[in-house]
Amino acid sequence: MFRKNSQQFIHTHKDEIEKLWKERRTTASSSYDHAIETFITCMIHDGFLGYFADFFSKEEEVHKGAIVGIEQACYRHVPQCTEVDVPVSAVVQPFYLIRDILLETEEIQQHPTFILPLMKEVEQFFFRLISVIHDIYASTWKNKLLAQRSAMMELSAPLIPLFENITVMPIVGAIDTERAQLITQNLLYGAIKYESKVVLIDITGVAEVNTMVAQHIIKAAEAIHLIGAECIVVGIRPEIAQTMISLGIDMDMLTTLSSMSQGLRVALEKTGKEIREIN
Amino acid sequence: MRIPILKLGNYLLVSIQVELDDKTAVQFQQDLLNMIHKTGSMGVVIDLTSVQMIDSYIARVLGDVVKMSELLGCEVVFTGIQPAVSITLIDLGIGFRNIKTAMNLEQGLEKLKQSLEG
Repeated sequence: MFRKNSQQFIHTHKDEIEKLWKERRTTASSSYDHAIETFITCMIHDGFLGYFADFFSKEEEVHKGAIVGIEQACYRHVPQCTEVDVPVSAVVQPFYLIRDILLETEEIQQHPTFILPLMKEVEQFFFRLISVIHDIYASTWKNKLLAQRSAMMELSAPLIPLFENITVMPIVGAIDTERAQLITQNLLYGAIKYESKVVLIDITGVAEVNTMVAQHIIKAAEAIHLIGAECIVVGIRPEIAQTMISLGIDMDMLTTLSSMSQGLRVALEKTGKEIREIN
Repeated sequence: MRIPILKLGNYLLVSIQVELDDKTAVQFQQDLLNMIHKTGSMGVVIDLTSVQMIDSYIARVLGDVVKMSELLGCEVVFTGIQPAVSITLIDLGIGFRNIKTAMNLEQGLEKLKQSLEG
């Protein structure tokens, strides 16, 4: 009768597993060898195999300690893989080698009845480990995405004070609801900050103006009117004028002009200034 | 709670410094119309700088005040509407399209002068 439990079994075979694992990894090579190898070495250095064995302990304290240890090790070393763009599958793969190694040890071969309970427990461990690795990957990507989004947001609605009382907001790219809110907010707070009387919204860079985009622009213009400034929409291209009319978008209460220079002239007029040629 | 209405030459000056509730708003409507009638003022500036929230009812009352004042031959300018308030009003579908607005009291008075005295 086989008397060891999983914890003892792995503990006694720790060195053997480590050696065999290294061999297997060199044979099962992938294009991310270097990064993976450093990662695994770091994990082993942090006592990965010890935690692996302790995970199966019947004592709650030791079991929990192992989980915390594994998670901490992962949080320390997985990010270095995400940084060099190693796919999650390549990071996870080496750990499955351990399963094969365990199965092939002499002791197991002699006691086949032990295979099922051992595999069951090992499976649990891997599930835990892989979930942690996936979580780390997911959170790294999420952070990257958020950083990019905030960078995009910063670039997305700049307000430029042009002359005294005249500000310009050039809009480039598609407008969705979220961006429209940002644009409206920047417009309103900026208009107050610069004490603008006229705000020019330049939509030359907006490729497609559909009903929703037009709605957003109209709303922004109305909001500007409420805080006591005036809004002129410039950069309306002929094809945009065509689509807007055929879509039945009512821009009656907005001042719209085709070019920035026209808009500027009107804005200057409204603030009691004019551009004059000298000589 | 009554909102003070000040007389400044030909104009009336109202600075709303409390959050308007329904009763106050209706009271204000009455007071302002009486005051316009009494003083024969040509213009009113309503300053909303300290107002952080306007609901649809208050918005309607204010909109009505403008129309009623115009019936009495008095022009109304709203000043200092906060960005957040303006966004709320637009979201409620209240554009105040035919209403005069200005960024601050000074510009509001200037606007009244321009439109009344040319």
